[in-house]
Amino acid sequence: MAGHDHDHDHEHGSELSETQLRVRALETVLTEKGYIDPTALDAIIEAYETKIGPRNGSVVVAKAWTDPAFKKALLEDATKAVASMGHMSRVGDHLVAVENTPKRHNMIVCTLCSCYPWEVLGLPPVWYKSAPYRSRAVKDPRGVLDDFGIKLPKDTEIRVWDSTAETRFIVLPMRPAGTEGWSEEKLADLVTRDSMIGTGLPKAP
Amino acid sequence: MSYLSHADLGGQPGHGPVLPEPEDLRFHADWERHALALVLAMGATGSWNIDMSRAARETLPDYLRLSYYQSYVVTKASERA
Repeated sequence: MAGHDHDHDHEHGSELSETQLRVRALETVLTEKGYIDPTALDAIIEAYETKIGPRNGSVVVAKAWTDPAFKKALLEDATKAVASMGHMSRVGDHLVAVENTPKRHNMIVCTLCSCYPWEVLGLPPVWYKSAPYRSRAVKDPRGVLDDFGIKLPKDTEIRVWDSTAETRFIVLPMRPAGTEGWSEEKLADLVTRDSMIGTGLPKAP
Repeated sequence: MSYLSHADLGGQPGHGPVLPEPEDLRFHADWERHALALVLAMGATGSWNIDMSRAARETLPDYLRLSYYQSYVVTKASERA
């Protein structure tokens, strides 16, 4: 059961915290019982550090910016459109793309948990899973955007999408002005992770 | 019904400001990598489904005090084979 972990704000590499010991013990027990193979754990970690990250989403957004047919398909059925690009779908459920326009800005949250489109954005950031974001995104989205240094025009409507285990969202940000004629690859470099969560905007060209 | 979730945070006041971090920061300690991998690997064994693991986490008495990966670890330790 719950121990007394007083250490989560100050984990240092030089000391073995209670949590570190617990993880090691679990890994040992589960390996001995034959549930897991430590080399598989390494492969999982490597995949999440190098392959499954927000670059996948950036590529999807850049394609939507340059290919109107793909954009239409993405907004109609993001699960299908993203699968057509060959991304692995780790969560394997419904993905919905929500489009930012000059009139409407979208933000995603999971108030109950940490539901997040892993297959296009990778692992959720700590703040996305934190109580401040989960509690306030649905009540004071403008205040939350302020925490990120983002100010939107007063008359921009902000729509917040609460994710579930079955349905997850990705924001399709607006293409920055001054990028006419850019390649998909160059455009993808402008698409930040936070711009696909809705707590940020794409980089300026 | 005695099910008590600590996870329904939408609209709750008093949790303070959001603290953004650099986008390339994936983990804050090496044990977090291992906690994630353990949970994903065990998930693949079919020992539990997503609703079971969510329920196990959100009913932890100190849910709000534990970091995300700590809640993974505490949950797995308490329900281990």
